[in-house]
Amino acid sequence: VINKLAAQLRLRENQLFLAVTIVIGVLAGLSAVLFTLSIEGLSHGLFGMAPSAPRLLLVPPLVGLVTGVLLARYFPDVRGSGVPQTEAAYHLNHGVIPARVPLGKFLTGVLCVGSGHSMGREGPSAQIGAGLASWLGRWLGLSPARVQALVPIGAAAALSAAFNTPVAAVLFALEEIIGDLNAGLIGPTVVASVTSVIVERSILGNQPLFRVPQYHLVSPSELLGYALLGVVGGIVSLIFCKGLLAGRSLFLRMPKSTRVFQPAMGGLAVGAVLIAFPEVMGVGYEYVDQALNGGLVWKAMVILCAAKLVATIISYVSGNAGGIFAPSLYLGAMAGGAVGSMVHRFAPASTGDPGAYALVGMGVLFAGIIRAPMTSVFMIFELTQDYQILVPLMVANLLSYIISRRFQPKPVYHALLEQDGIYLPGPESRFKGIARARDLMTTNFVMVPRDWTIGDALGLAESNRATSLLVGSDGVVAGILERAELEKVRSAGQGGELISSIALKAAWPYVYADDPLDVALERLGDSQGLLPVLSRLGRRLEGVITRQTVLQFLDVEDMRDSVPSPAAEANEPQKHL
Amino acid sequence: MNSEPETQCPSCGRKLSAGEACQHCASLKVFRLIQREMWLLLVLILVAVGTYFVTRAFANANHEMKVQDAAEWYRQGERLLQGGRPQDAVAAFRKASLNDRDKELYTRALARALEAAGRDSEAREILLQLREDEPEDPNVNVELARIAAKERDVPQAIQYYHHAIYGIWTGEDVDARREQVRLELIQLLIAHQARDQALAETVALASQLPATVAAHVELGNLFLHLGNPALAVSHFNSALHLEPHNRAAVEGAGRASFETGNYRAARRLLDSLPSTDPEIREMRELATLFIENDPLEPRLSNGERNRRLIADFNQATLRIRECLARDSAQGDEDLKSLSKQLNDFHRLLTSARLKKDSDLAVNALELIYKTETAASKACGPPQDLDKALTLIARKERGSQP
Repeated sequence: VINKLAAQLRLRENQLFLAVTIVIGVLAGLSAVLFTLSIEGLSHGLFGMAPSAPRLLLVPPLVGLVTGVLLARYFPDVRGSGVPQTEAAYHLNHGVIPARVPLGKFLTGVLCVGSGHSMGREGPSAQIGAGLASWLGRWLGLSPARVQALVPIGAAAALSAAFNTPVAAVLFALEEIIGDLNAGLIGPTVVASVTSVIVERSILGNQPLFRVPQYHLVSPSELLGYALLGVVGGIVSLIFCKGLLAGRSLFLRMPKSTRVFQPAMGGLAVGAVLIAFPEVMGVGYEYVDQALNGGLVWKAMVILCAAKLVATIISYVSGNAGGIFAPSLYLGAMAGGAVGSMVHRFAPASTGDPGAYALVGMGVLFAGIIRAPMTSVFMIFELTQDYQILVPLMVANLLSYIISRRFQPKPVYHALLEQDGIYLPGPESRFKGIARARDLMTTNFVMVPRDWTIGDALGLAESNRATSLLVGSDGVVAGILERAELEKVRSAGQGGELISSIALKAAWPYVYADDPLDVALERLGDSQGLLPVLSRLGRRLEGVITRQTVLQFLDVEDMRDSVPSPAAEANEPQKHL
Repeated sequence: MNSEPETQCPSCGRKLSAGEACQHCASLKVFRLIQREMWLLLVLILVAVGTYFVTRAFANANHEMKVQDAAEWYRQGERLLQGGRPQDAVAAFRKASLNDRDKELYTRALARALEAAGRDSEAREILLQLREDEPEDPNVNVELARIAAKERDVPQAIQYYHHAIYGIWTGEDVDARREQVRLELIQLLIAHQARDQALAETVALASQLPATVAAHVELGNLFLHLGNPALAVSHFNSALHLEPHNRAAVEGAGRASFETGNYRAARRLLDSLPSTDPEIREMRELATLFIENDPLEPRLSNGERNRRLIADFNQATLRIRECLARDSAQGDEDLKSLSKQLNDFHRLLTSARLKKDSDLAVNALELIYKTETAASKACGPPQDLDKALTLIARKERGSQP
């Protein structure tokens, strides 16, 4: 009877999940529409139709003071885009996003983008949608796995409404948030995305975001022009990513007490840019539209590309809440339009209008910055609804992607998370049902603080027959010291000095707790027999892997030397130092 | 016999055999769970519906705001365009069309401003997008035709003009606007020497224009320009019938009558005009010379007719002598031959012979025509009486079967 009821309940949960998916589609769509409308309303209220220079200069920093307080005191986890945080919540926090996140993101996102910061609304919309979905799943008492599944569904639904491209939104959720295009969540993600876009169109009408010019490849040789665009796009992507990461690193190094003022500081700088180039204000899609329709000359597009790049980096690194999705499209349209104009000038008979290049450029920069090439292809395809664009788009995207990846191996969203001490699992860590590093490790270890003397540390190593020592404190590993190295220092008569006097190696092998067995074994081979296991949140030490713990896991006795059995080892905490 | 020990369900108190779960409580638990879920879902749906209507109201308010902004940008754009600042007008109209995309008026205004700013290719892109939605929109087609005409793509321009003329016209003064477009097309055809097509369009226009003085004058001028003075006279006369002293109609009728060879009517009409225009003055003088020297003028006495013919012949002889005296024409064999023919013919040209032989006058006029034509070729265009002689001889040639 119980089994029958359990089966019935499981069926009920499936049905409930589908119903919740639809409701989430509606709510996420509505949240995205409200978010867009609020930004437009605030922007209109603050700047009017034709803002004066003082207004352009002062509005961003003054609003920045308010958002600074909100972000520092109440909503510290809603700075920036929202996409990386959503990915972290999905992969590392079982899909749990606190209820304050969507609320905070909505408020601060409206204030930041509405006050003229050069940021996008799509990333924040995705985080709001994902946050709503996560909260709803928990409120309805769904299982943790279902709650986790709702995160990309909510993000896709919100993105679908924010950008009016349902297919690209689904792909973005799969490619970027889940990190697996074959994920089993495709069905509910499509349902939510379609529901959301229906809601959005029923409110805002079925108007495309941009007036897209009719596309055609004039001659096969024109692909060379698109290849050039791919290279330029890759370089611009790289400059943007490097600038963004370097600038953010600079702001993160500032004292914590300045965080409350950082958005206002950024606002002042952005205000100065806006006086010279009001075209880079906010989302800036009207200028993307102009670039697409040949409304800007190449010099203007080059200047706007540079100004947007600077303004977006300042807005983002100063800790404001807003995304880089729209800026990447803006940069792409300007860079593409400029390249198109030049190419068209040199070969007018065999090349298309600059608008076509601007269109492809949007996808190129998206592929280079966001590193979601499939999403970028489908996004532009959805905007144009023209198959002809696919080949040049793929050629240009591929080049941009390769260049960007070659010189900035970490995708920008992942790199931004790593600056916050969050390390997302790679694809190899996402397979289920295989042994992980956490299965091999032992939590019986000690770490030698840096204020120990070399002699004391060596004594500890000798008494435990350890070949390596972990150095650090409070769960944070500073490095690994070889016993041989310590002996060398002692023999030089410096045994009384502190460990901190020894320069630790900057790089040492480690694994994350969810890394698979083969990765752990490979890294162990690279180590001196001691492999730290770190958490992805904050890289804190969770345990260590040694040859003995591996053998213990495999239930094999180490025949090489007469070490104690794994069972005995567990009782010798000092063994793993 | 061993009986199984019985227990009681701690929740509902039902008797259960050992190890048996209470089916009633389990079902109740599931029911309560389902009930809770249903309630929660219902609440969610209500929240979603409520939020939908709130968002819709917000969206409507936002749309209203944008529509007002768009109207203001449009007004600014018009002011700027009229003030001769098309580039600024482009920016204003662009904002208007982005704020209110439903209103084609703004998009058209943008295209207009782009055209005024010389950014024809951008204007064309916008108009082509508009045309995709409404291929039979006459205004869009006219704008496209104007751009094509500016770019000297005449076949494309003609095509767009035709799409405009035969498109779906709405609003006030439909006929007048349509005719205006056809007039533009005719002007284009005239400018590009497509006279036959222009004449066909003008005939089509004539069938549609209202019977007003302005319309008749317009048509008369067009026909005159297109080399059909007979139709031109007809339209000018219709205009004069409606307004006998209309200056444009009198002038047009005078010119058209002159072209048809009705020099008497031409002189009558042109005489009533002020002689400030040198062209009209010249035409009037020529008409007078024609009337005074035409030997074929009806109601002339035989004596006067013969006198005129001989005088004309003598003038032609004088013309060829003067021409032959010039260095440039001295070796011209045709002129020499004609001069000889004139001398030979001169002996035959007496009043008595003219009375007897009616073909003699015709042959004399033919010779005069040949002489004036050849002299014009060798020594430049004729002046005054020689010009009139050319017209007289040409008229005679034209009247021959």
